[in-house]
Amino acid sequence: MQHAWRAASGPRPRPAPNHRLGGPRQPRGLVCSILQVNASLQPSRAALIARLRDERPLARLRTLGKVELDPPLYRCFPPPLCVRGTSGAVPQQLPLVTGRQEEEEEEGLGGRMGLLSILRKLKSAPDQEVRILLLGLDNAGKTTLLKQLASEDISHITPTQGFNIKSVQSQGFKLNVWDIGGQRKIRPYWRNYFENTDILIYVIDSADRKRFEETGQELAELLEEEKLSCVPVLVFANKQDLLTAAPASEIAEGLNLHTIRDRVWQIQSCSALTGEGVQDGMNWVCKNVNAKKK
Amino acid sequence: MFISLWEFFYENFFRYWMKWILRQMTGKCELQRIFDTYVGAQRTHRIENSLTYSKNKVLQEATHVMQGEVDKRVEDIMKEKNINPEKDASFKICMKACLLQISGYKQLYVDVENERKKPYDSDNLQHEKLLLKLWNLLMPKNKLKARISKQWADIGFQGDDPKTDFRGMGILGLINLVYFSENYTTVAHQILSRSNHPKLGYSYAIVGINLTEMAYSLLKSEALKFYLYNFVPGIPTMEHFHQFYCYLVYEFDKFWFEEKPESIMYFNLYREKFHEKIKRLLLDSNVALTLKI
Repeated sequence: MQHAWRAASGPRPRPAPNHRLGGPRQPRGLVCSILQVNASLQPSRAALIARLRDERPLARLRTLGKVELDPPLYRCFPPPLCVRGTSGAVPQQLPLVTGRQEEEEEEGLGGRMGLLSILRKLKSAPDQEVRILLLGLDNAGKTTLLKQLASEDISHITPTQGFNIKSVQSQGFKLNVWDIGGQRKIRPYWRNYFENTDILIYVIDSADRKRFEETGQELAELLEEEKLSCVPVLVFANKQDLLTAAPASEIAEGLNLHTIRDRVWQIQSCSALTGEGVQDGMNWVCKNVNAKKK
Repeated sequence: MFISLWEFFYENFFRYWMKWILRQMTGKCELQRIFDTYVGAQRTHRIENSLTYSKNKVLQEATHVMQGEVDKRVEDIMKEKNINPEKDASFKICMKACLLQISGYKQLYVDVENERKKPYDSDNLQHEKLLLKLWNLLMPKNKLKARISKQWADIGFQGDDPKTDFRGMGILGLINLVYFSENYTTVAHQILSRSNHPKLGYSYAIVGINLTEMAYSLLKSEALKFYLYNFVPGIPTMEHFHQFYCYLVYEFDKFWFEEKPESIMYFNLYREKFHEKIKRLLLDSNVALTLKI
């Protein structure tokens, strides 16, 4: 069963007529939105790059280039990166392309590709698998976050011995999320799970100020790991529902996140308990899946 | 499709006719026939089903009866079913016992859920006392140097302050841990020292909290019915829930060392395996799980 991810709030812009996509889809589980640039209204590549240069990191530009050079591929595979709506181009906010929609879209284009489209269908891989590693100190809220992502009940959570794993399907991506226990005793086992990680999510209990130093140290050590080099990192400043929670900006400063130069990173304040902010963080994850520098 | 159709007809027509025919043949109502044929958990379980599916409001609501009203409810049922107390003297006693078990199980779940919902609160003196009691029971020779201390890891908590480890199980997790250490102190010491095994070791306290979750979810899913109906002749209480927890802790430790997992990282895999094993045992209507030392 595929989860349809879409924006939770705000009206959805009407799709252009040549995009005959299915009706409104039921949001299930995690909700996230992906913005696509409408193919028919795409401005010239140079203009787009120029527009994006001032606000997006380099990794984005690179993938955008690929997308533009090879439009058929773009339609075959889910867009690895998303382009935020810029003033000139009218952004189309559409659910990510799934198999069924693809077919409809092609018929809509008059089937002008014939054999090519069949070949493309053969080539089009199943959902791209993404390995996400969820780390952080004990009691940071990793398991709650994992269960929130999988839309499971979060009221009976117990401390994690070992690890939990869940797969969350989203259009185009199969997110395999590994939640590893954060207890000091089992932190040495973390490294067994580093291999082939696409995204690292580091969870911090924003209200546990006494352990900011400890959590900062663990994160710094992770960032120095060779197997995790260049892996995009998302820091969740969790437990924002608590009054004593430190704001994300304060945590970012305390952890010296701005000194990270070798990878894309993001800090996102959230509450795994209420679900607030989780979706925004996962949007970022989807956008940066392929930003791992080789 | 066929099954649901059959169920529909069975529940609405056949069941009623069958009961009518049997009633004419034996001169007894379904409840009496159950008492004649079955004992133990099977009896209570069948009585419960019979009452739940009954179209009669008095019978249907009997499964939710309060403890003080059981006597009156039994009399209502006898009136409703035209049972002559002189002819069938045992009916009253049996029915009362069954109703106490059935409504007691429901009440036990409410009680357990109430404890679970209470989070551990460090400002609550009783909670703090209970936590220190746990330490003293498990570590009688070592004094706890401070309330917030690395020593807590020695009995298998994750960090310096155990309060964060109770999480979804609340104070219920702590009560369970203390109950086991208090009533089976020698066994608790043995298990704690085994849990410090360099290769096969696990974190005693948080595994205990995980097992509280297992006991709780089994109670919630009604999987403990056969067990409690067999084990407790009257009203099942918190005490019996704790007893079941103790059984789980003891058996899990045995299971873990028999299975010899590669590392603690596979805990959830073995936990699930153990869970399945217990669920299988609980399916037997003659189940009797007791901690045998």
